Amino acid sequence: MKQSVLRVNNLQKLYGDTIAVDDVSFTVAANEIVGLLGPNGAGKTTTINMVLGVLEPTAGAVSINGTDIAVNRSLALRRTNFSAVYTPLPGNLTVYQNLHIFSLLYGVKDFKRRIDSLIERFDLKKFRFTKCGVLSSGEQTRVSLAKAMLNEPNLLLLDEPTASLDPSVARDIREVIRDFAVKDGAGILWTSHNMYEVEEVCDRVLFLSHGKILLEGDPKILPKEYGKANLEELFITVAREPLTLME
Amino acid sequence: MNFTRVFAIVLRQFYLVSASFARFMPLFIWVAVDVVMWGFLTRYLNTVAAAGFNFIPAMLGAILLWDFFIRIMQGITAAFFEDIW
Repeated sequence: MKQSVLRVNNLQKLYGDTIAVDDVSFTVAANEIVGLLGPNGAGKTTTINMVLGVLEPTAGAVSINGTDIAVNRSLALRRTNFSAVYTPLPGNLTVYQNLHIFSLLYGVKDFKRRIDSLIERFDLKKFRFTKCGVLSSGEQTRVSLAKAMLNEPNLLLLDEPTASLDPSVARDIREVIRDFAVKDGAGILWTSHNMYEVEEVCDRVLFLSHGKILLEGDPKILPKEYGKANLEELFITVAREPLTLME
Repeated sequence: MNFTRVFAIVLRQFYLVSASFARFMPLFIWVAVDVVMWGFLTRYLNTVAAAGFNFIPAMLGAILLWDFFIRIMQGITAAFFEDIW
């Protein structure tokens, strides 16, 4: 059995009387891509924010590489990173300047070599001295992913990394991420609303609804188990009639 | 405290300021304007103030230094807000 890089135990987040995340438990192993799926407001981003230590859970624990994030957040996040389409890098700095600053923040040793290899990997050579703010969505996503891989994370959290990208660019990005999980041994937690993408990339999916994990399993098998034609149909059922799946 | 991280933030400000004339010049222009304005004021106040310890230039020097730091603070804060917005 592969070692877990992320272990989430009975995580809960309350906002007054509203339950955003309700007793969620799951693990992500090395080399594994886990899809965190669910309709808007299901609690995906809240869960990711708690995993990153940005939000304090009301109850429960998050452990990354065996370190409890509430006990030693800095150590837990040393080999963790995050990328999302809604958190682009500062647009007033060039690609190299941004990667340089983040490599210092992450304490990356031999950062020049690391930045050069990531610029090569994400095909960013011609944008090295271009300000991030003038790059297209696809190029900005590539820079953001390069930033996310600076500290050679063994846990990568991706919140809709291919949203707003055209299918061709999205496919390239998926291949790079898949390659990263396989070759670099990283565990990846991936949220997306693109079920085709999830089916192609994820080894396992978790369906969240109203803050709870409703279903869990292989995205290629799960729809058939619940009598659905594909993952998209299953997603729609989770979003509209979650109770029918619990019967 | 991690000094590498502190250096990263300083470097970020350096990259921003050195790449933009519009960010660099206000740091000095407003201080220069203050020096001229308060300089004239000092000359006038010295003519009407009593003899003894020359308190007014000392106070004006402090005001100028204070203003210089305010400009720096505004520059850094504006860069920070740009990131968040």
